[in-house]
Amino acid sequence: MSGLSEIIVIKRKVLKELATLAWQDRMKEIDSLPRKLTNDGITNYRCCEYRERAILTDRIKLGMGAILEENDDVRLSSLVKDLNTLKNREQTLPIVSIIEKACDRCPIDKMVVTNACRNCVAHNCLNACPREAIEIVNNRAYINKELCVECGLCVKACRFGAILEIERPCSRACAVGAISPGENSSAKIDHEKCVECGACIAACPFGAISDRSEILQVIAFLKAESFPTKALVAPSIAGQFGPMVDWSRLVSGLKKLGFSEVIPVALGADQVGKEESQELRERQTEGEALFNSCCPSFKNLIEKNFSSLATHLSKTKSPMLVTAEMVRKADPNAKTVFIGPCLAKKGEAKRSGIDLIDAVLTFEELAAILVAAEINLAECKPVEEKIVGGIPSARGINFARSGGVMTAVTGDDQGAKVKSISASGIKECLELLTKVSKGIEAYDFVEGMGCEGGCIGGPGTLVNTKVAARALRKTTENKGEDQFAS
Amino acid sequence: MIVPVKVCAGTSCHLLGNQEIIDVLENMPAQYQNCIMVGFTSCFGACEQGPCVLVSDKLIYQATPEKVIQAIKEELRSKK
Ligand code: FES
Repeated sequence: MSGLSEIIVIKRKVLKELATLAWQDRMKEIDSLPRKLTNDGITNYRCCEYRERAILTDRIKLGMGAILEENDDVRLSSLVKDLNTLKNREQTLPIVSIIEKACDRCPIDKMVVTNACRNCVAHNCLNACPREAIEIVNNRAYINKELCVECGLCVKACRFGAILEIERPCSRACAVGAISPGENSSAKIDHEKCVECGACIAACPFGAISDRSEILQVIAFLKAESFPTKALVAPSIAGQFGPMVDWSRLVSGLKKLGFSEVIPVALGADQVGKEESQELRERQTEGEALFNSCCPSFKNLIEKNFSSLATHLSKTKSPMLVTAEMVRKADPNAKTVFIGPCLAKKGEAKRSGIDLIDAVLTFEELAAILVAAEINLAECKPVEEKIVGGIPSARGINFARSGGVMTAVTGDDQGAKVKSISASGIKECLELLTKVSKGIEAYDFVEGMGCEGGCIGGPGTLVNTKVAARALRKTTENKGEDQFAS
Repeated sequence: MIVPVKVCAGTSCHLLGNQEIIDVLENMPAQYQNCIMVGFTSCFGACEQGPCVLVSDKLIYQATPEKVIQAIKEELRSKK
């Protein structure tokens, strides 16, 4: 993820204000939050303040974890009761949601003839069209939608460049084709196809797609006194909170916030690397390929689009779940909060980690809570304490970037004998899997990451992929010891 | 001459988008590279109005890359 759009800032402000109300036990003021936000300057990018507030209300609802379709006409305050309870694990899916009121219903037609059409003599468009879908009407090329197969040949044929091929940004961003226009032509997500990668969220210029958050649950956990709450932090954390925040400051800040313990998920990744390595050896003797299962988007992609390849998915649990098992074993009473860059982990936690993970936060959401609690990580005193469970290795930490899992799994001695490949971004994964499923290419090990560059390119990150990659490199060059040292 | 630029790296300014400004500052065109000195601070005490950036002695609120570059240019011009 890169480039900070207005949309992202609005989302963050909404989360911050929502977290502030919850943190200060002022949730009864929630109904006036949309007004406060417009008064504070979120205006003018929509036609009127009324609509602006209606959209903000929906953003707040998602921030509260509500499903928009089921809560269209309700007041924000009526959602507080339901969602602020500690047990809210049932009404869980889907994670990614369209804010219909914000969706601008971009044009649906793919091929559009513009004013630049001169009704020239050559009529290259007409000649190029294999379906005879183009005729000349009113001195201009006209595309018959019934006949058009959207092949794009006319676009290439026109010397004036008068025919445009346009696609809704959300649909274009969605490699699995899960987004299409619904009845009223606003975007609709087909959740049977959606792999929860979050690419559409970043792509929509109207901010009309967003994800449901669990910040209220986490705040409730942190305030509760009857159980400890533990933070399980993904290895992509390196550099996420800016140039002044290292691991020890982060730990210090999270403890101040109320987490009883902060555990690097890279520890779980270390174990996953070893187990998957073993699994690879076994599969190799059987002549079977192995695919990583740690990226939930990649896993979703295979299960939903390439079911014939599903048997190749590693049986090893993801680092998130493995780490959660460690934590649970040590303290069965504790609540576990996974903190990472990922939206698909929210889904994974619900589908396969219901007993292990109590909530998932993105780095962005964590930052919103910290600001709400007036904790500035850059000013937190570094803590002096050993990490429970030891120091993760560079291999475990490198799960955060594309190629890292492959290195960990195909490891030293195996490297030479294993034919492996890695793909990142759903589009690249899709292309690779297509080749593999058709038998055009064959590998012993396939690493797939739903986000470009791996987890450090995730939709819930706070810095761009380049900055994150640099920070990660610095951490692993010190083999983790510096970053995680006491 | 050198213009000191201090970007607030506090959590609030970070949430509100200081990273974009840091990125731009780190990738300034060559002619500016030698005229600025980028540093960080943990808070300017104006978190609500972040991201905050101090260019010489001028504190910029709700900073954007454009605003910061503008301020640097002005500073360079005035001191010439
Ligand atoms: S965090 Fe930047 S001014 Fe306080």
